[in-house]
Amino acid sequence: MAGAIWVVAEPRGDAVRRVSLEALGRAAALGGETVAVLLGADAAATAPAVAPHATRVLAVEHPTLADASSTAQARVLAELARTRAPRAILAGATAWGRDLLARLAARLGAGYVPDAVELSAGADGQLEAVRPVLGGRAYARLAFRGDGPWLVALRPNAYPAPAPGAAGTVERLAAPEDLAALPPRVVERKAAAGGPVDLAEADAIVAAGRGVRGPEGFAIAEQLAAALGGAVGASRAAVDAGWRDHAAQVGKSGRTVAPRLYVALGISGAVHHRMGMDTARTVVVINQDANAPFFKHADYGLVGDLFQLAPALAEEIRKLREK
Amino acid sequence: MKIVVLVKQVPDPEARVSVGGDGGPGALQVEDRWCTSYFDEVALEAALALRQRHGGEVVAVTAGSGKAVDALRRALAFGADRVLQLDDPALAAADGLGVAAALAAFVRREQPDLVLAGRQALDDEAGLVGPAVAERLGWPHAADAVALEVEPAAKRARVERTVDGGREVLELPLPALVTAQKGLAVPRVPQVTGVMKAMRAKIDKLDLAALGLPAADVEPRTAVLGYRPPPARKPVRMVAGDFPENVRTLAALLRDEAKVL
Ligand SMILES: Cc1cc2nc3c(=O)[nH]c(=O)nc-3n(C[C@H](O)[C@H](O)[C@H](O)COP(=O)(O)OP(=O)(O)OC[C@H]3O[C@@H](n4cnc5c(N)ncnc54)[C@H](O)[C@@H]3O)c2cc1C
Ligand SMILES: Nc1ncnc2c1ncn2[C@@H]1O[C@H](COP(=O)(O)O)[C@@H](O)[C@H]1O
Repeated sequence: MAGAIWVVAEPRGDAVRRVSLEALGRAAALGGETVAVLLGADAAATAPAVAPHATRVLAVEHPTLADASSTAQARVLAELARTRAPRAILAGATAWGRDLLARLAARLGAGYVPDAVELSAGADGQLEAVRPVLGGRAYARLAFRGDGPWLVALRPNAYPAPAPGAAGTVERLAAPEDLAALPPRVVERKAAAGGPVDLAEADAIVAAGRGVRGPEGFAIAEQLAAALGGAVGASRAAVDAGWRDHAAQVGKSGRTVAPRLYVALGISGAVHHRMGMDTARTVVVINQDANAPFFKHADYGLVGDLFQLAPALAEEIRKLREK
Repeated sequence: MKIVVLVKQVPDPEARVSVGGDGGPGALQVEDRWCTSYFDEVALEAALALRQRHGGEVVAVTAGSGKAVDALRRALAFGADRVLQLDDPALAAADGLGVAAALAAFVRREQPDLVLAGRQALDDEAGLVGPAVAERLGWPHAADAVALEVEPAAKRARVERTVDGGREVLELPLPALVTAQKGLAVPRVPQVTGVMKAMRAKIDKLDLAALGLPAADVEPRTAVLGYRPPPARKPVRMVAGDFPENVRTLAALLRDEAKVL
């Protein structure tokens, strides 16, 4: 079973995203060498965040690499992969990871499974991946053809973050000089309207729909999300009404999320919405209409007025968590 | 300005889906109901808005056979100037990378200023084909665009895109590829006369040989071993009782039974 498994770690502040650690944990469980790849100006500075989960850390450094386009990042990774021949290259199935791996797959001509929820060892050192298709209405099991490297974007929360082990060795490499010139260039970064939305990795998501009646209604969702330590999502109806940023939309034409807990406030449960959250572990639906379709797809249902129920639930959860 | 839009016909999101007995590669059963992938309609609408503003031509292309052609009829009904179907037996087995190879070969022939695609197709949700076409062409791309301005004379585009946690504004030189996120444009509802005309239009086809693409370039790099139904959720537990007792019960269930607190 030749070749290491690489995980391209996604920077987040001074550390990396949790999904990068989840991927490292999964890679280690599959056996063989686990390599965390860091890209950045001072990539080695982030090494302590990943070294306890990897046999080796490759810190690829260039002044523009962290902010560089996926074009530049894919070029650097492809070069490295050609010389070092990893068995597989993983990243988190976030906007960042998927943008990068799509480009890398084309550059290497390598098999790629985006948004895998399972990754396991198949026959002969092969890897097999499982991913939802058709909005999660079926799961496909896939194998790779050819010698690899095989590329996999792993969905956040698919595997637990691993416990730290012995720190792997750190190797620093300089990326080629000409990267900075590769477009596109980021000229501005903006926070999402209505506060940062970071649903990708949220443990708990409180999503609100037309039933919250306006942007003010989202304050109730915020309150409950705060009590749960989670993030706020929205139905398309709420987004189209202008109550929340597009980035918060969950569903077919929004984003796919897979938190441990998903609480829907005033959302009817149209199939288009459910397609974005059906793989959430526990689903709670609060709706005043006992016949709302969403109840059929929930674990726990509460019938009543969300304006009364949600704040009380937030209070109750706060109490339980303080104990 | 010339714009190529990549469009794909996909099973309707409301089509019934089931997995047959043996769970093998042929086990996926999808009801015969189709639509053009939502984000591709957004891309098409954005292309038409750019044509309105800057003049030029909008060319829609799809890779596939059978129902695939309906995406092109849809594009004609929207108002595309020209449509092309890439149709070849070798494409039937292709995965996203193979499809991207064929589409890139087509784009190379057309030499547009801009290619627009959907951020992901509603069926496989890979988000692969757009960036992969750009990589094969050696072009820059911007994914998940919610706003797009083009300066054709300066050969420059400015894209606002969604990223985890917010938005980013990118500048890229043309030619470039941009994938459409919801919000970039609102797809029109085409007029009946346009739809009727599109139904009758003759659609030109190109095969791989015409594109100068060896069949090996579209060989799949992944193989489907089988399908299974999604994990079943237990029947819902409706929390009974009056307020505020019901809320307390729910919170306790979340802590003790679901163990999510
Ligand atoms: C191609 C396509 C793509 C789509 N993509 C998406 C998508 O990505 N995401 C998405 O969400 N939708 C999507 N939709 C739209 C989807 O079909 C639904 O229209 C939408 O999800 C409805 O949003 P909603 O549940 O918030 O509103 P509604 O369906 O209007 O439901 C509101 C609910 O709130 C309840 N309610 C009202 N007041 C209260 C109260 N005081 N207390 C408790 N409950 C209350 C009502 O009983 C009702 O069930 C898409 C549609 C199409 C055609
Ligand atoms: N067979 C195809 N023909 C034309 N365009 C396609 C095809 N497959 C994918 N695309 C384009 O690529 C986008 C992303 O598709 P995917 O990578 O499959 O999620 C789609 O929204 C389309 O714009």
